Amino acid sequence: MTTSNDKSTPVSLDESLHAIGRIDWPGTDRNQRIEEHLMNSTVIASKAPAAGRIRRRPGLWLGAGALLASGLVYGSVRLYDRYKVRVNVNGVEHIHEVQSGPDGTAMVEVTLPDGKKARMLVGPENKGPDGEIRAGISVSENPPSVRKNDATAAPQKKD
Amino acid sequence: MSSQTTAPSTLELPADECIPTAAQSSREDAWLTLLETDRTAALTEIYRRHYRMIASYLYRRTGDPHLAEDLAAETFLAAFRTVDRLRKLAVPARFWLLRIATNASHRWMRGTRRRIAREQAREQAQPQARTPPEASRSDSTDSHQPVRSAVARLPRRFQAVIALHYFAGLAVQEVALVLECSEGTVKSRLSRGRDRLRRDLESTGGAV
Repeated sequence: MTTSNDKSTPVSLDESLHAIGRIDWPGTDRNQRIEEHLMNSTVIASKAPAAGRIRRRPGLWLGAGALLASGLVYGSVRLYDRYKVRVNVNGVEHIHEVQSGPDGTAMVEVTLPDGKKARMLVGPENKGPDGEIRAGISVSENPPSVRKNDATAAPQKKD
Repeated sequence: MSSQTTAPSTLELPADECIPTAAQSSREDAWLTLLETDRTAALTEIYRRHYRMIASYLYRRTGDPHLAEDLAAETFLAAFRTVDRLRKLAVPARFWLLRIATNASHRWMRGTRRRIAREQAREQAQPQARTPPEASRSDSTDSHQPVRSAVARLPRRFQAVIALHYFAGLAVQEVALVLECSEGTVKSRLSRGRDRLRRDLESTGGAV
């Protein structure tokens, strides 16, 4: 048996559970993440790729941000099957071609507004409990070359 | 509603699909046809039709609207990735989404289970100080949180039937469809789950 906060009479467990089931959703009928995903699917479907082939499917929405010594960089990474990655850096969008490995991870290298390069590893294993994928970003004046001996990094394939 | 199957740009799907009637099955077929011809439109339709229901279910489970929103997004994105499986399932889309949402909330619960256990230990040590569990970021005046926390402490098989029956409002037969088990199993788990909840709530003071 359970008791309510403002009554001395016991409330049955069944009633308590049903009361939870009657709680209304206080939010809206819209979800930005879902709608952005659907919008991107529509954009991809309506545009022909400029170069190379993009195999289109509802893919991962990846959001990555990091506070860097040079300031806040917002990276929005979207993986298109194998080759195309679109990265938004401080409002400027770049398209990168990367090859994801068999484990689904991919290394993305971006050029920051100050000329420095940043590398971003993205993959489903970085997904947190809230569904967001967070990737570490390292900034270097002379970034190391993309891994060539790593078994997860397949050779770059250019169209 | 007409049973004609055309290739519409919009579909009239029932707001609350229960066990499908013949007309509802026909509409499901129409949606599956749309999935073939205009995938994005079909996914958009399923999102518009069922988002509130999924968000409500997750909100009732977690007590946190922001978390429910995140889990709902995770649910639909996972559903979009696996939508092709829906063709092989003999269940309405609503049940399929609830299954995915239940799994999403279970994953979240797993991550917070240890924190809930610590909260329970604190509540037992200080029964007079009934502070809201750390696991929830919901309103501190939420009187349902002790029951939610108790549900979250249940083993997964009991959590699922309790949540789907009470928080999603499904009948026993519908819960069985979602979880792909027999009605007898659902009834048994409901009964045993309630017994465990009672014992848990009594041991923590039984506050609602």
